[in-house]
Amino acid sequence: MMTSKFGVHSLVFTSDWNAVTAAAACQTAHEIGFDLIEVLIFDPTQLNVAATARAARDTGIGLRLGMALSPDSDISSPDPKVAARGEATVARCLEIAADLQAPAVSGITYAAFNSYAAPPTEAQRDQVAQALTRLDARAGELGVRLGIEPVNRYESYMVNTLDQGADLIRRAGGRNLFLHLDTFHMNIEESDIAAAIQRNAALLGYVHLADNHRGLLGTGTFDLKGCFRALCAAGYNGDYTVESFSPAPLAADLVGGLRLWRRAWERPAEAARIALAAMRQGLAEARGATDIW
Amino acid sequence: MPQLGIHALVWVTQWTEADISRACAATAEAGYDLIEAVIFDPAEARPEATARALAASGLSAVTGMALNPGADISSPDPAIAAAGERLIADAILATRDMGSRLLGGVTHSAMHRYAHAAAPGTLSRVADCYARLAERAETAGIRLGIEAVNRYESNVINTLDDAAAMVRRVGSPALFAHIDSFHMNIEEHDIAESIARNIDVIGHVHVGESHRGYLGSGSVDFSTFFRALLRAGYDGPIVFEAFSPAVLNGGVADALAAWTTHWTDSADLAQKALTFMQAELAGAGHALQHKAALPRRENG
Repeated sequence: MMTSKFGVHSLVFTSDWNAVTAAAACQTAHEIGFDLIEVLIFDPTQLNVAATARAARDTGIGLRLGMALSPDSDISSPDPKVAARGEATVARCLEIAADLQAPAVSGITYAAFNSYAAPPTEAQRDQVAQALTRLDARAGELGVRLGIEPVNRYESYMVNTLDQGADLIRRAGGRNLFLHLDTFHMNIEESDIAAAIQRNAALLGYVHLADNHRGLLGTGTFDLKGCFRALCAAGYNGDYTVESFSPAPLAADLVGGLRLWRRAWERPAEAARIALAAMRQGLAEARGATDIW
Repeated sequence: MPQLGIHALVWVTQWTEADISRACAATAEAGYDLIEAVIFDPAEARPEATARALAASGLSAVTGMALNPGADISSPDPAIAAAGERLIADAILATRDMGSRLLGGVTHSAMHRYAHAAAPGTLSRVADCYARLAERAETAGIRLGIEAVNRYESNVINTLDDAAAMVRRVGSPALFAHIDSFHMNIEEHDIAESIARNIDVIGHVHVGESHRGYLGSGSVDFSTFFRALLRAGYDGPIVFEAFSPAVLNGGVADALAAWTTHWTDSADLAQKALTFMQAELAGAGHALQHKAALPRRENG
């Protein structure tokens, strides 16, 4: 069964997610033809859950949730207080997913979005695996899933590749945990992208599509076609969400956090429209190439 | 044919006399003609010992460097900017004294994960500084490079176009753009096009895989990269670069965010990288020769 839906990340439209911008972003995404919008939860205590639910309901668009832990709220921290705050943050995001009837929360859920100064220790890996075991149970109770997104070396440590993410999931032993791929990060960290997808096919649950430079999808050097083929060949039929970033709609501190030093584009809707066309074309071609006939 | 070299950090982190001898001997043994020495601190560059080891191993050298948050010509703080300019000026002299004619690297800003976009006026201040440094380089008889590095390592020069624009803005023949396939794989829109339109200012090339491990084991399209260089007529140095926590110490691996050990055997890595680059260059050369119409086979 082919059930893949196409989504767009909220940061394509705004970093200030409030009742007004949420409604506008959901409306625009829906009009362009997206099935989903991924809402990035910066801080679960600050997210306007009711307004998010209303914006999605009013436009009929589906929701996915993204998150990233911070240095102050980091389940990999050797400081038990910081680690506990990190676990509580992930748990709260899972509850929000259940409230919003979103299928999952995923992102940097195993450590902080942070420029670490040293690699993690084995004890820290164990600590994170144990926290994920508990969070997996909580996700099961809530009927949602929790995704682990490998990100590049400059954005976090511990999980930079699919294999490292899969290893962590196996250590945690969860049934509600999955791998969340991101092509921007994979382009930097993976050896053979198709082989990594094939090896970890059973755990794949979500895909972020971005070009190598995170600007307009399809205008860079990333082999999108090969990636779509590998995912289809691996039997992936989950959702695809585009990340295409420019400082244009974003607050200055987020521009700094994501190191977006050049204006990739000016108009969010145009960037989203170009991305959706590339996604539809890419998936259709890959299906044509990999369907058995 | 471009000269093939290897980065010193494949072998060593420090640059003591023992490190220098070991790195030079291993470079020569692996079959390279050239080593890139890294100048972390010009006072510790040991130019005489380096020159001796180079002569003993039959190698030539280029040098590389990176500014840091305390010595950064892009800083709006005049004291930090002046410290950055002094660091480069000293590295120019160390480069000359080693017998290297080329100093590349992150000379435009600190190799650092900046939290904010560069302040207005930064490029203009950096250009003024490069104009002064270019004179020093010319006096020393060397050339100074501007390396385009990815967004996590600088907020000033990220693409080849950025580096080339700076070289043209200053307008000195002592400056050049320094490219690196690892960084280009993150930042460029079209690597071949970018090389073609900027070949007049490219003076140094780093060859790194997408994950900074074995060449050919990642996502960089090296066939496109080497063909673009040869097609454009590049004949400067080409230096292989890779980083691993298995070799690096003193916090250097952490500064490079090298959390994963992609390789452990420097000699094996170096030898395979040389074979890989030679094969890519040979293939690119054959492809170029076939650009003229080949004789057609006809019936009858």
